[in-house]
Amino acid sequence: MNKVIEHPAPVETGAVDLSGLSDEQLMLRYRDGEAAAFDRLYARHKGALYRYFLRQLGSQTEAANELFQDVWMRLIRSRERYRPSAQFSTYLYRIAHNRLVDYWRSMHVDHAGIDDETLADEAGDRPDQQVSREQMKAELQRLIAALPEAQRNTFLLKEEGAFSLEQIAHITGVNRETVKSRLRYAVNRLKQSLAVIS
Amino acid sequence: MRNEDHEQTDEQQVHERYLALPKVEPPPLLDEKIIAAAHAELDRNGKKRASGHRAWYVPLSMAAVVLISFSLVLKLVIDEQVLQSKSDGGMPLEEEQEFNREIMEDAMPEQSRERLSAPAPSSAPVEPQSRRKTMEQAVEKMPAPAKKAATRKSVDFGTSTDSSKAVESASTASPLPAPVVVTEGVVEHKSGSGDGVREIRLKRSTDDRQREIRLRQMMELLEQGKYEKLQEELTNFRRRYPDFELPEALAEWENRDRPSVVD
Repeated sequence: MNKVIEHPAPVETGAVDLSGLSDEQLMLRYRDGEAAAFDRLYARHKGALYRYFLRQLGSQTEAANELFQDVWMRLIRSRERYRPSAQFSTYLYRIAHNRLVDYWRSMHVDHAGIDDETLADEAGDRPDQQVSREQMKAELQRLIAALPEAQRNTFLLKEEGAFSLEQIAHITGVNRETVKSRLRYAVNRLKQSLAVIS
Repeated sequence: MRNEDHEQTDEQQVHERYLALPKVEPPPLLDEKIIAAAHAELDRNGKKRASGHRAWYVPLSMAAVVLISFSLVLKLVIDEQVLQSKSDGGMPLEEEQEFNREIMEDAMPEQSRERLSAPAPSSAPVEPQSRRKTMEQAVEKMPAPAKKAATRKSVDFGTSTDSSKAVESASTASPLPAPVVVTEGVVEHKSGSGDGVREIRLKRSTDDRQREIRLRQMMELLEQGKYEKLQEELTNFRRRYPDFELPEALAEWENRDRPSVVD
């Protein structure tokens, strides 16, 4: 269930410490013309959102940059229509999710991902090599990118956005049980693959 | 329950592995680009930074409200003044319109029309004889051509039904009709000749005109024997002009019931 945010009380501009304001208050300030509020809001969410795109697309950094920029542009252009009816982060990642779906459709890419058997075979090709910690990290990123789109999306929303199952359901447009199922499958696949590798 | 615990454990393990991944941030160039776009959006809309200003339509609406309110108050004040003047016994609307029409007709250019100017307005009532004398003095002051035209005919105010007429132009000898301008109770005849404007101005207050009309009406009522109506008009007249010296006929009728003063 999404947390309904009450319309925050108007805050005097100028000498207020922006760090103490919520995301919704910052967005409202930006809507009303305060540029510094956007700077603060951007600093809070840029890292997580960027990693969300980057780990969706694997090594396609340029595409991740493009999608990342596009999401913020859409937010900027629609600032006057912003109404704090839900959490700002939910609003932001909904834009991001929709943009990602549009991207996949335009690329006509098969998002089925790599099956477990292939993963196991690849790991088995190097039986004598000791897997370093850095390699494990890189491997995890590859495994995440290899997940089916829906599972990967759900997993990254959980990890980067720190959303609840209900919020993920709202962002992706499915029910809570579907989100739960996708997350479980994603975790299982990653765990098995990591176990095989390690 | 075991499965859920097992799932939570698996989820926790994967989560910890994920947290160990590097915290990649967007490139600084991308940050600058996005922030610049956000600021430019504000500048594009003409909104000030770090200030909570209002949309343009708010001050415009306020200005419109102030203007409308002021106009309404002004109109109310004017209407109140008009009502006040009417309640004091001012000229009825129909009579004022008729009076204005007479002014316009009199001001129409006619070369054959020759009239004398009325004396200048004064607060004190002027007897017919002294008024004639004043008019003669005014004629004396006229230029030669105007004087010649003005002495052809005189007007006896007395009990005449003619109201005071407009001043005749000094250039009655001019072959061309003189344009007429009537402004604020001032009737002017402007010469159409090339030697400039020659004009004799007669300015009379609205109050004097109204009073003359009312006197004329009362005289008519007196002549017609409509004494009840006359009494009513006289009462209203006295309310407005308590100290005005009436013409002889009216004064005599007004004092008919009063005992004469005995020394």
